[in-house]
Amino acid sequence: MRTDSSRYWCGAVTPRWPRVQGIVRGASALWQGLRQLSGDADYERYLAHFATVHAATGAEPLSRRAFYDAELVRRWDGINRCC
Amino acid sequence: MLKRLSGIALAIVGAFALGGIALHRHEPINALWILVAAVCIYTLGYRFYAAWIAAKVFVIDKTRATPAERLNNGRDFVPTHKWVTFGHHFSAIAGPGPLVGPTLAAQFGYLPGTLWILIGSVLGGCVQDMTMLFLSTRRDGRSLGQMARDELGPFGGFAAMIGTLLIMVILIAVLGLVVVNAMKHSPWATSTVLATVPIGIVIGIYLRGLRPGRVLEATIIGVILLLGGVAAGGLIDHNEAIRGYFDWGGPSLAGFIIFYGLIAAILPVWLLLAPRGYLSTFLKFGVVVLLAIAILIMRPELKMPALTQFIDGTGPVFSGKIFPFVFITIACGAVSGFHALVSSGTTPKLISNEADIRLVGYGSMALESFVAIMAMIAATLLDPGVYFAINTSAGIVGASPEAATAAISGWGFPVTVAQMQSLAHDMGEHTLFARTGGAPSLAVGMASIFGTTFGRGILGAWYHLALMFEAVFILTTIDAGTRVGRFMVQDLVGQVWKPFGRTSWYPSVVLSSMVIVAAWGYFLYVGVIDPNGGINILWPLFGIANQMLAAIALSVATGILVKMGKAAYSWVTALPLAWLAIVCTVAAWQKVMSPDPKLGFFAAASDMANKLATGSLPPERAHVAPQLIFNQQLDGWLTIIFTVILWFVIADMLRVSIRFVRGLPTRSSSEAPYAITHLKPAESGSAG
Repeated sequence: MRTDSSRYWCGAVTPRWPRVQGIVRGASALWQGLRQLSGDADYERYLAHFATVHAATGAEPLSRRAFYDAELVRRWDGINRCC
Repeated sequence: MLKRLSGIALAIVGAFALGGIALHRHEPINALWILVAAVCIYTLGYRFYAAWIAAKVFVIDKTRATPAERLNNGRDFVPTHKWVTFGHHFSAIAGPGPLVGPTLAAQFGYLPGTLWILIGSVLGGCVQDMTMLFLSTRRDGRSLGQMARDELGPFGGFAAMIGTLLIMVILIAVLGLVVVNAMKHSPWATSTVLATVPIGIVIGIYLRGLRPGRVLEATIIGVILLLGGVAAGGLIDHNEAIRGYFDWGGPSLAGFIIFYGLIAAILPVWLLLAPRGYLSTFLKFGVVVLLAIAILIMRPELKMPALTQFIDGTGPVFSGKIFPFVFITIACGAVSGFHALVSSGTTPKLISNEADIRLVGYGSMALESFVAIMAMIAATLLDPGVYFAINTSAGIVGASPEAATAAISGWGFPVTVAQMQSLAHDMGEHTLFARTGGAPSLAVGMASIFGTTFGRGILGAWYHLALMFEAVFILTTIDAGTRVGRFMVQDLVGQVWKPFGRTSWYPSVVLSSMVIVAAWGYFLYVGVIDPNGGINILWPLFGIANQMLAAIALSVATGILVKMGKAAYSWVTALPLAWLAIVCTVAAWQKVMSPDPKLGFFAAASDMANKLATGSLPPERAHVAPQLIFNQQLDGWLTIIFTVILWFVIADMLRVSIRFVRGLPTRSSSEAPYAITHLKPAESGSAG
């Protein structure tokens, strides 16, 4: 799912020069990549997914904490570390 | 055209670097040559061989929807940007193996290990990872065992599962031994590593209770605390009143690790396992980047010769000739069977487009292999005499420093007691003799690289930082491995007795955890009481197990490639498979049949039994001899089991392949049917 990167990085800043814009865009992409890699963005992604797929059923999405718990169990029940 | 030109330029640079290595045979060589040669070889392999495999063998289809898109559930199946997937995959496959293996293999000189790391990864390990990732992506992210069952038959799946379980047990034992040897009678190292447990718990509570899921900020706090732990360890070490509490011998440290492993497997994941996993991922990335920068700045000379006399099999670190044991010892830095489990586990569920498989599968393994190259550099920039003094156990060169330095100098690698003492003092240790297992000598190497580059004044802190990094890493593997092993036992027993298979039933959790911990705890304990250090027995056993798992994965891959109608191209996996099968079988044959008690398990057992019977063993050795005799025999039988399983899987694969080629019925392909992708290239990742 696409998260709106400008929300986190350059929402208030609108650089005038294309070059600066490019740098800001690059830095923002890097930051978003880092948030996805670390797992910080997981809950937002889940909410976005829930809104598009399950919202019609009227079900409530998991809370941030319940989601975190469920994710950890899923992630560490399989092989995710090697030698 | 531009691509071709840059490819040619790369080839020329790589050839020059290799030529540089070749021409410097009898003088110290700069590590930069090796680094440049390695990067060129990876790039060439990635750009030409991997691209060729993707286009001709796999026939990658960019228009085909991946499981991440078709089965997107916002959780494990998520189309992810290729660089994020690369990061996830790398942090999952990266473990302590590529740090330890090359360090041990350095006893042959820098050249054999380096060459195998490069050749083995480019033609073997990277291809294995990429092929498994591709096959699993085409099969809804199914695991190696499931694919073996679906495509070959029930035996392949069973073999993969048993192989995984056995390798896990041996792996955890040998890694536990590495940590014990690094912490033995070292208050600084012990207190630093102990501190990582409460730090992990604090981060776990923060991540769950205070700020759920904010991993980045928690990781930063954790890393600051870990650095504080290293500093506090130094203070403890200098305080005569406290340091005694952290001065532990091998058996008590082994007991601590066994207890810790059991607790970590039973506790909820969020409390210890997950936060430790986050911290170790961060440390891994940090240390790898720092090490690469430091080597580039320092450009150290390698003092180890290209080849040592130990290629004849008389090496003190582990026994066995250069063939096959350099291939067994390097293990994960070149080819790792374990990676096949990750490549057919979480990663295929993230791939947003088949075109990303080359970067994620092949590229991650190339980076992992690069880490192995850096470990080799860190081990071989030490004076060879120092390297052997650290890595040779007291059972081989004698317990006193004088005897050890005399023996090692006698091999032609001069080292003095004073030199070792001043080094130990610089590193903040009481002694560095006989710290086998690779971690301490790697830490000394890393400390001298970091110290020279970023400040020599705090060598002791650098050394313990490197040690802490390795220990955190290893403890994560111990936690996670025990937990996965527990699920496997529950699954196995659950097939016979249903309630045991319920993963949340507490008696089953405790019982199955105890089974796994007892299994690796046994090998760890015997390794600790073995006067020869234990590493020289356990590491080859682990290497054989790991390469065997790789051979099983490559068998499954070859069989599936043939069934895909790609028999003409199946050599891309069949060739590394043939090589690994030869290496594993020869190594197993020597470990089982060799009449040399240093090499053969059964020979060692009967040799010790004879000595015990004639009373020629000193009392402290006679005391542990019965356990060591049993252990040697057990290791011998394990090796036989590994080899038999391996050949059964190969025979099964050949049977299926021949039936298919002859047009006889085989199991139908389990490939998911084609569906067109609706992701636009820009949408296939959310990071850019």
